[in-house]
Amino acid sequence: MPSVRLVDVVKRFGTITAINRLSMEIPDGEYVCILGPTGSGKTSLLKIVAGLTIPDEGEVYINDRLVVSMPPEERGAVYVPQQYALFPHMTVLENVAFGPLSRGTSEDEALRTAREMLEMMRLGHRADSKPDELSGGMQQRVALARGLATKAKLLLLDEPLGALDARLRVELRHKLRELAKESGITAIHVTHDQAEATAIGDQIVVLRDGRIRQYATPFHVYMRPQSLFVAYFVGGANFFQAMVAERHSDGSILELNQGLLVKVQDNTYLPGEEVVLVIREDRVNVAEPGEQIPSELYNVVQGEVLSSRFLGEFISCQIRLANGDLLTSRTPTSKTDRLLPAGQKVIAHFEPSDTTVYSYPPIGLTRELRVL
Amino acid sequence: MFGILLKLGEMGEIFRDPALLARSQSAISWSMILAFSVASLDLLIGLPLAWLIVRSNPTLGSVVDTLADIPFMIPTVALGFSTMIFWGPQGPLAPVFGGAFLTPGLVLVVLLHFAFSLPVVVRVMVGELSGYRETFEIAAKTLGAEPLTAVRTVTLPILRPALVASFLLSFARSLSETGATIIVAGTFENGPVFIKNVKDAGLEGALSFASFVLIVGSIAAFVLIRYLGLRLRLPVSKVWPETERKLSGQRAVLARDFTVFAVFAVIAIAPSLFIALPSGQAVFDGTLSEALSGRGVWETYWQSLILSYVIGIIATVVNMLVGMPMAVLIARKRLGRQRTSLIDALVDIPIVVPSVALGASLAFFWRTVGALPELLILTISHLTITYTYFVRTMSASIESVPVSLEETARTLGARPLTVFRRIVLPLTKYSVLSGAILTFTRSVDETGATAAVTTKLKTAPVLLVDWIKGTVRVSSSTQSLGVAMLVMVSFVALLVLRLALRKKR
Amino acid sequence: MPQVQITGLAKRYGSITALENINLTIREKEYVSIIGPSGCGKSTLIKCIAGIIKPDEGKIHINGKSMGDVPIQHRRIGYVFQELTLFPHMRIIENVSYGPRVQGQSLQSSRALVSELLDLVKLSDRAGSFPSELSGGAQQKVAVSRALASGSTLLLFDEPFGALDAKVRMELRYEIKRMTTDLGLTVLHVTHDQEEAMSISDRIIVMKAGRIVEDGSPLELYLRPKNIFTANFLGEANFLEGKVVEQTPAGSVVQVGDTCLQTVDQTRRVGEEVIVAVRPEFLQVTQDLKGQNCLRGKISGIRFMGHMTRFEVEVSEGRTLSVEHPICFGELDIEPQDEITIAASPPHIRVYLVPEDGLDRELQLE
Repeated sequence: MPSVRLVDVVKRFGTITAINRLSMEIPDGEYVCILGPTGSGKTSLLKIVAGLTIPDEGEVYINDRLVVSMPPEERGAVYVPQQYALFPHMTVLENVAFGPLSRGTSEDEALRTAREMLEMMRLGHRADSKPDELSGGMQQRVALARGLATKAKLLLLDEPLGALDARLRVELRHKLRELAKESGITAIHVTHDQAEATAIGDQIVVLRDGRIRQYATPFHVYMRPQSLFVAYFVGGANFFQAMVAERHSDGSILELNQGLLVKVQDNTYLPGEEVVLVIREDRVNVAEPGEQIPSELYNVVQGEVLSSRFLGEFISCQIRLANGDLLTSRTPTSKTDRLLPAGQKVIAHFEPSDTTVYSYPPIGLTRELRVL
Repeated sequence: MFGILLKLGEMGEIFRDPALLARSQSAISWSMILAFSVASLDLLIGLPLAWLIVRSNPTLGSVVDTLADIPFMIPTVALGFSTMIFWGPQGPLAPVFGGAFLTPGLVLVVLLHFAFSLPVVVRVMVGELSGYRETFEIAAKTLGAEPLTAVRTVTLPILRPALVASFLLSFARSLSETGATIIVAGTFENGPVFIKNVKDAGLEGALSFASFVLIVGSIAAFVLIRYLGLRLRLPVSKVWPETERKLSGQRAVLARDFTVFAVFAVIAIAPSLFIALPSGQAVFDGTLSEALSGRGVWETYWQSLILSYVIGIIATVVNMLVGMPMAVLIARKRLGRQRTSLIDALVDIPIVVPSVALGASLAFFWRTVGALPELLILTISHLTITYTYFVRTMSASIESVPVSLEETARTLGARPLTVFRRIVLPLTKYSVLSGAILTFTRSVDETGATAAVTTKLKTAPVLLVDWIKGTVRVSSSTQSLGVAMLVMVSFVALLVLRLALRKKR
Repeated sequence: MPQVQITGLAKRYGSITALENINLTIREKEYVSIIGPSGCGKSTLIKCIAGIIKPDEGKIHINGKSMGDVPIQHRRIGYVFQELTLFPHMRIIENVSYGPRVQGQSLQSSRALVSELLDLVKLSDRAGSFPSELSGGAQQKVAVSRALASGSTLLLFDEPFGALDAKVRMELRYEIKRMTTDLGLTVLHVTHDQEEAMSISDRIIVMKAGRIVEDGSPLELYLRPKNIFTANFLGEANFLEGKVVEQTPAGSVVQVGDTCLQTVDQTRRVGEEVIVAVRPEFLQVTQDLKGQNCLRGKISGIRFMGHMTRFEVEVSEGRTLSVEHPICFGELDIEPQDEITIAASPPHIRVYLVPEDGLDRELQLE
């Protein structure tokens, strides 16, 4: 089973640097999701591993072998683009047999392997159809079967679920992961959908402007985002401009808008420094007056509901805090399915351990988080 | 590729003959004026016609589509002959006017040029319109624009590159055409006619001068038109809601369609098909048997015909072999964006430059470089002229094959040659056929260059011009039959092409 | 007066039925989403309303007027497409002012309206740019402004954010929703994304195979779906087969395997074969082994997803249920292969008749 290693890879297209001195290692058999906005370099990265794009600088190793000059057909890494690229003039069976045939297997052998693969995908009955007669989900399975038929051990998926409806995506993503695991394959799955990456990745690589911002498990990327961008891109979060008021060994006190004081677990920043306080939306607890609240001194703020939205699994609440800041909370529907009316007085509270702090970005918060 | 064609072995003998100079200047200016007017007329009629084909009901569209191709399927020499007799004393209008309605001269040349260049515009525009995303137009309508307004302010500006391209193509065709123009020109002279006349008179200096000016002039005209065409700001912002609503109405549309179709039928179709009549006669009055026996003038005819076809086949095969790698290079931009555009432009030169001038310059070049047999020079000139057709057709087709197919195939284990053989070729096979047939028919059709190059050898079209202009005396039914038989092969070849393409769609 | 009223609409293409017997009413200022899998007819439906497609049967009334043969350009409806349809040869300001201009207004007189609209989407500084210079999200915002500039109060959105990144979609949907609410517009928004539909709509219409399956508020459709397809389409659900064994005042009792589940259903009879649906987040891990609606099982998979943990629990005979446990409920000390008990409260257990074509076909998404 192959592992993939990139060392200081750089790729430029004219004046744009798509990959900016990137180093990364992917162990055997892992299902790794590369997550990032459009233009972050995800596709270029995949193509560099596949051998379809040659990097300007840096080294690429597959299974500890330097492959930079190796042509794509010898790397044992199958590339599946977003639109699947099924050969329109061949039947499903011929498509799946293409890989083995091109590698020199006899026709009988290739067709047999192809049929096996299709059976495994429960598409045996469509072997003689043409790709455009199949639905999106089926086409995806054919593309996967075609890749697996080559017995390649490295699968490079470029937004494999992107062309499908939202609901179908949710249903099929687990199957993708299952397939890779059962076949003992290392998979690199590129996506812009953080819910998808979180749901199926062993590890997530968050990419922005050609650089890795964090490489960790979904849990860590969610709970301990390493940068403002990661905190913003993965899951919903609240961002507050603040200044460090006090610093202790077990945490710090931050001063927000209008003097509101908040206790945080982080103690890296010095008093006087401008920082950004981040609290995940689902770590905010909303209590109505009269409800029981822990007796912490800090992190209990009065507020007023501006609006409430039903999101299915969660109820999202926009709250105007006493100090003027806006706070969004997410409460699981299983806890309560009541939509708080606008104007309702509430008390928002959260634990210091549920906060993260970052230094205030020089170009300003809005520009730093610009995705639109 | 064939940049050598620009190496005009200039004889520098720019004659001090003021009358000749004036005559050459007038001929070349007339060429430009003629080409420009014809191209404009083509757009005026061709665009609504293309619209009719793509947007109205499918059966009507198909019929007009097929009809629109007819002038294209006939070698221009034949078209010239047919046009001459259609409007002449033997034509259907003669009885009405008691004699020839039109005699060879400027008007006839205009009608002729219009007829053979219209299909070009229609072809290009139909292709563009079929691929055009109607969503833009629909968006305009949801914003309140009447159909005519939507087309004028949104669709046409978006299709501008195609409009300019088709304008340039018909411009080039008009500039370049020689054989048919000679037939219907009478005393009128445009560039190619002048060159032929001057060559026949042995005035080499004038010949080289005129060729040179024509080449430079046409390239300049091209660049200018292309630049202006794409950049000129048009009055897209003015709107006349009331008038445009009426003009979008059903009756207006019907009137427009009818007029356009009528003009098309009378000026392009009827003359094209008219050849059938006299040749039909010729079959029955014994000329056919004479032809088949190969006696007398027919001996040279068959020789010329065979020469034409042999050169055609050689040109096609060589161009396919040489053109394919070039097409891949252009389509996949292997040498980088800028270098590819440069090569792209170079490949276009044979189309931009009038074939007669091309032929003349090639002849000079090879004669100065070293004595080459005439046959070889002839073949080379045909190769050069038809090269573009194959490369263009193939590169457009290869470009439409998504790169992701090739990329995926390679990661599945296929080497580049395998990818080409098993993925690209099967998906472009119709274009290979298409390109080959276009190349072949263009070569058979070619008159100008041949006329400029040869002294002894005559290909079929050149021979027919001689017959028709009276350089060689033959009966009129012999003329008709000779022309008809030339038409036969081209017609059949192009019909096969159409059917093959129909199957694909 | 309802803004849009549709009765008996149908559209066929040869043997394929794109729309069948569509009846719906949209009131002024409502934000209604139409959702459904690809091919369900949702796009066809709004194209019929816009006049882009002509229906075979039925009537469409907008603001009380029958649309009959009224052509697109006279219907005064704003339309935003999935593809980017800003006119590439016109600047942003010319694009947005196109509507007023083709109706006879000069560039000057529409200037004020155009500025206001561009301000609303925070793109005033890009007025002189060409569409190709803007990102996809920005282009769609301009497309919305353009649709509004022609002055209509009814907007049709055809998967407007389909071509955009997930994060961009999320931000854009709230921005556009705020804008349309502020301006008091009526919106019909077609999407295949249930999350999107639920987060911004007053009402959701669910379609399948050319028909309307169900319609209601997001909350109603998510918590109390009347149709089994809706139950599966609007969010994930676990499905179990069972039989109704008792009818109590609180609701039917359904036997699933060895367990009896108390539900709040009042419609099914004793003896009927039914399917029971429970969403993963409503299955809770409990220590109370004697509680109501308990199912015993073994952990076959655990995934830590940040805001929640997802367990796969094998309950019996190869049946696996998905359970979602939000982090805020506290961390659980659970390992794979552990035996656990999960439970769901009666209102969260929905009961349906077994579908005629079988469950898989009924829930089919494509």
